[in-house]
Amino acid sequence: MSIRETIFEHLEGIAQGTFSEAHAYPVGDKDPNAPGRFIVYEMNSQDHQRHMGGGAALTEGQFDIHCLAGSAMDAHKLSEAVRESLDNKQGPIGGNNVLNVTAFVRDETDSFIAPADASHRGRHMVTVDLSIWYEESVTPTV
Amino acid sequence: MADLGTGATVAFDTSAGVALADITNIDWSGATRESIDTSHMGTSLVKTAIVSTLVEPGELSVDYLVNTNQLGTESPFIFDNSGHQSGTITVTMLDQANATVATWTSTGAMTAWSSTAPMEGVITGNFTFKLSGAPTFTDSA
Repeated sequence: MSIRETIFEHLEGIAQGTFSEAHAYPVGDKDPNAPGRFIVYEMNSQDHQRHMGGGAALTEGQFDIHCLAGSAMDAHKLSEAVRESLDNKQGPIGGNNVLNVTAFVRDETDSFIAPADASHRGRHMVTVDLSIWYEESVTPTV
Repeated sequence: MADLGTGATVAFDTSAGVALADITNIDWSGATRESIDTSHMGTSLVKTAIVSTLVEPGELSVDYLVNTNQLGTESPFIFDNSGHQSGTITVTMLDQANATVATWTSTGAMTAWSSTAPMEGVITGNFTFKLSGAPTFTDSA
């Protein structure tokens, strides 16, 4: 099993648990400039541990989780919900695709997406840098 | 043809069937032979030496990933040695093109074991074997 479905399901639950209308989106599926409160996430790396005989199953995924809103406070509420749910997490995450993980928040950064024109008010974004260790299905051995 | 280290294995005392799992690196320090400098004041141009007839076979160092559900597989390497102080150590290396293996074989015993479990990092271990027998080398088929 891959982490992709699991992280989507977990972030969707966080988003809707924070603001009922909020959702989570893989990068590219939602314009960050779009109005509303939502989470956009992207996987930056997937380090598959291996040994001489093949895959070790243990994998570290690095994610950037962007929490976006029209106000800084709403963006912070989303990012705090992410941190409280996943920082130092040891146990199951996900919905239908549950994985046991060990997760750490590595960093958090606040930023502002400046308005493109007078019709746009700009967007507040908190990015949570998350590291998730988990066991994936093992690929064929050497 | 050159080959990768991937696919290499280490077995200790193969009659007992003990093989170390999840190896990430195998380092043989290599063989050395001492030399005694015999140069003196009358020596000219080039130093002279007597080279030992005995060869030091060196040590075999093996790094591996620790599986918490397979610690029992590692314990014979540390304490039991299947009743032997010294056993046969066989390193196999994969010939990728022909799917056969070449081997280094020697005798030796575990002289060091260590393990580390870092915060937010992978648990790893290392065995060091002191070799005491003449190594033999077998080509892949």
